[in-house]
Amino acid sequence: MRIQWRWCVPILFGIGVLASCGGNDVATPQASAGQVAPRTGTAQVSFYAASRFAEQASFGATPALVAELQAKGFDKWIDAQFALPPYQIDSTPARLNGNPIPPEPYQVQKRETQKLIMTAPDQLRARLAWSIGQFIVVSGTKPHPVGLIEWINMLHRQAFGTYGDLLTQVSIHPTMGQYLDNNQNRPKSAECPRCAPNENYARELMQLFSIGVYQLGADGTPLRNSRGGYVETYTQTDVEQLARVLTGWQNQNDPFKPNDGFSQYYKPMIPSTWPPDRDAGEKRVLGRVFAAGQSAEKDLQDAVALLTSHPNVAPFVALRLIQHHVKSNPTPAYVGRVAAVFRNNGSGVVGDMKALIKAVLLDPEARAGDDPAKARADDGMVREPALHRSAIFRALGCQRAPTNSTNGDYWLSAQPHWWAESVFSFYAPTDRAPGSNLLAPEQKLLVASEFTERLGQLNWIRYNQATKSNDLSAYTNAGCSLDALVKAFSTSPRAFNDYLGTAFFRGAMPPTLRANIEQLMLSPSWDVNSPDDGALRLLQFALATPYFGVIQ
Amino acid sequence: MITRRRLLGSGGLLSAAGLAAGAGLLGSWATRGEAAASDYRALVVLFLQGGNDGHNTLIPTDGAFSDYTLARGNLALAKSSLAALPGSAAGHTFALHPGLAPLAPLYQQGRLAWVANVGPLVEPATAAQVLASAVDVPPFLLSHSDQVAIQQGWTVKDDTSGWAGRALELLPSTLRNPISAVTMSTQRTLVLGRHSRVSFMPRDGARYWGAADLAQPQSANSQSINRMAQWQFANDYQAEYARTFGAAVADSTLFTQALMQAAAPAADFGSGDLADNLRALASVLPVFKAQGIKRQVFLVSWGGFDTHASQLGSATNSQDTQLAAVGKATAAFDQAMQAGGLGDNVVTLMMSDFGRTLRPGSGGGSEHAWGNHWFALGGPVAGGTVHGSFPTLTLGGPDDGDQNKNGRMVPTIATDQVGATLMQWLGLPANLVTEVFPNLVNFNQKTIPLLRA
Repeated sequence: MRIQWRWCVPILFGIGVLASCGGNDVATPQASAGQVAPRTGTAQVSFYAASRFAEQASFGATPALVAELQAKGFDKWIDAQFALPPYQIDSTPARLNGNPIPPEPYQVQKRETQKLIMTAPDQLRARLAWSIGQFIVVSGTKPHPVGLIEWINMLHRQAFGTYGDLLTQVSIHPTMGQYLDNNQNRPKSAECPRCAPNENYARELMQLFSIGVYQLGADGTPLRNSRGGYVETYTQTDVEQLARVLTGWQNQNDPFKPNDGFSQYYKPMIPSTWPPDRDAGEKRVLGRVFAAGQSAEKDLQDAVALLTSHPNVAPFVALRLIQHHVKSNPTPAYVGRVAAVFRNNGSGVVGDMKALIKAVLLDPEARAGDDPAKARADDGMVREPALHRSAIFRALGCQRAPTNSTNGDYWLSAQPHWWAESVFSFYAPTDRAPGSNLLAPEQKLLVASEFTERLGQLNWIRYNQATKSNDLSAYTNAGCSLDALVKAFSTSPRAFNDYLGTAFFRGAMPPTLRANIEQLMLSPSWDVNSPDDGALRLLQFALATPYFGVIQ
Repeated sequence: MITRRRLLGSGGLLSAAGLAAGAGLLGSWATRGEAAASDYRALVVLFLQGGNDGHNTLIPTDGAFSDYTLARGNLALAKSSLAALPGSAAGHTFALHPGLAPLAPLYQQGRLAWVANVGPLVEPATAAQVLASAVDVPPFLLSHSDQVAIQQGWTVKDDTSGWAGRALELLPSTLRNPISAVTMSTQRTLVLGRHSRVSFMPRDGARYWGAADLAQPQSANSQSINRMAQWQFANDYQAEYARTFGAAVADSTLFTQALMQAAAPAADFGSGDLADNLRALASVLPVFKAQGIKRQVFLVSWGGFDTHASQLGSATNSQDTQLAAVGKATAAFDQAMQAGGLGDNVVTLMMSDFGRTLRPGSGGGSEHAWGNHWFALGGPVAGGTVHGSFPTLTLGGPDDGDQNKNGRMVPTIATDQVGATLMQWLGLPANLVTEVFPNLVNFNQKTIPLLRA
């Protein structure tokens, strides 16, 4: 039955001012007219600042996370995050094979990565691994899901190490070995006259994972030649030589589990012991000599040392981490400060990821917006689809992604997690918005189908495939709690706006949005089938607006 | 209101059309369309992502076939498996990869031509000059992301626009219309202008925006969506989000109404993403033509052709499998265009990141290279021939620009020459060609005879 959903005594004084419905409000409205609540009690930081920080450092704010940030302050919270063990996904349930690969392993991978996003205690590590995984890309389009899971596990283990160790583990990870073919990189030899170095991994190791194609100044500003053009970082000969350096790696098979077809995914690659698999001659990359006769391990170690000491790597990594966590278009000074920490963490260590993420998140330019009055117009970044959904589901307390698909998959069409179309990821650091030319990489994913998902998906999930009717079972099955949302909706427009403000807008509900929500709820044509229909419909409207569409 | 200004500025025709007035917008086009329905031209660029291996796409079957088998080794296709093309061209007889067999009859009918050894160039170059570093060559050769952008017209500046997008901005005002620069994926460089937005057309449209049905643009729910796009923001990214949102609503309103009038073509496109996209495109182009839209460029990016390994065989991501999908879907697309009365209005151009090395690599694949072979399809194409000069298929041969003799061919036709040919067909004035293709100042011949006079 279709019912008209109405509230008590709606009195509208122009736009945005509403008399309260006496007695029905949810408790203690947060600074709901757009102003920021002051710090209270023993809090180190304001509710607004803590919520904002959570958006930069985790997969989304939850009441518990915001409270922890307010209590500890940012610096101590980060240190506490460093101390947590890395979240690891158990790939055992995905170890099923077949031709084609059966659906279960894919479902395990999708389900478990969503569960990680929602529940991993080491959120900073998980979010950093997600950032790294967006420029050091392995995509589920090629390897078995076990390989993808183990790749994600490796990124989690390495996220707080050094960048050099990360590049080493990336280079010998069997899933990367498969994804970019380095496990098939063999030199021409008398035994294999048709072999020739496979350049795929060597090229992307330099281009995408460490130094990029053109030379950068210490603050990330591109160097220019006399005609104003870019100065290339390396030549094709360097690529070919580095491919030779990286020959000879193979998957490790577990001798104690000869029938386990998946050990190639959870053990690092090892050098082949068959000499023709490896080019042991002298190589020269970027002017550095790799002496003839070096082992595969020594060659790799030297290659990583070469790349992590290259002038480009510090600003290259700094820019990417800033873009993924704080803002799309940082000042050169901000990039320069973070790059300096990459070159030296203060104790002489190069590429210390702990120091690096701290420098990214605690930089004055990152924190200026904690006071909305000091926010700059060019602050922030478009909230990418993955972070848009994760923020919503975490705020609703979900333990995994709610879905109504019969196989339990959650699939984000514009940015399927860990399933980029290619090694070039979902967008490039240099992507600009058409028309305005604003540097806004994530804008590339704001296509019509993404907007229609933002405006529809939360309600579509109510459709129960078994009963062919709408209910909240997908949410409750995923551990989400919509009680507060629906209760606030049922109480009054003001209560609903107050709830939205606290849960999704850092306690500062934008006045325009507040007025529009009120107007929608009070308009004569507004009718909904049930409180949860109405609550979710308005929630997705609010979260599809530019206010939530940008992490500012 | 940016979108409205864009529409007004680009078309100069939509006097009172606001964001919400999708129906009115379409109406004005339909009215104009009756007067000039015949003047419709569309370019469809099929971009094979990853670097399609041209050496196994267009194969010489005369004496050069022995060069081919010698250089390619385990990558060489058996001659008996190939789809022969009639006659000879560029000094050779040719055949196609077996997956492209559905294109052979179109070549015979003169609707399909090949462009041999094309790629980005700064100035005319020979392999000897490249080896001697005696010519200027494009930067970042062999890098996927950069070459995709450069093939599509990036001039290696902060301006990230592409050649079709720039050219569309310079068409005479009588040839400008909304939804002229369209992509069917998030890839967009080709159709990106200097100051215009790009239209994204999902193949099944984007009709329902929450409670809003864009087929009812005047409904309260559609209006509430439109209003959101007009909120004002001080923050650059929120303002951009609002602009992107508003433009997407406006475009989706037009696409929704066009798709509602579209009829599914009878041709068999096969299955999969490429087939589905080309089928949707084939169904909607006749509607655009009937609406009086005049010029459109569509970018259809598809595939994973970066075959460093496992290039041959029946795996889903082998070149063999993917070219079979290309052959079937593009032949069906042309069939549908002819059936829909657009046989002489549409040109399809196949291109890719770059060619691949003539020599195979370990793992049964090939490496990144430079020059490559493309095809153009449609009534306006001077078909049944191979344009340009075909490279000598020997490692270290006269066309090999690689110091290590891996068979990386130096292009003999510039991407820009092909682009300029097609954009002039769409109406780009000849005196503005170098504005769109700056490197063509270095070429005496700005276009090639790819299209019928």
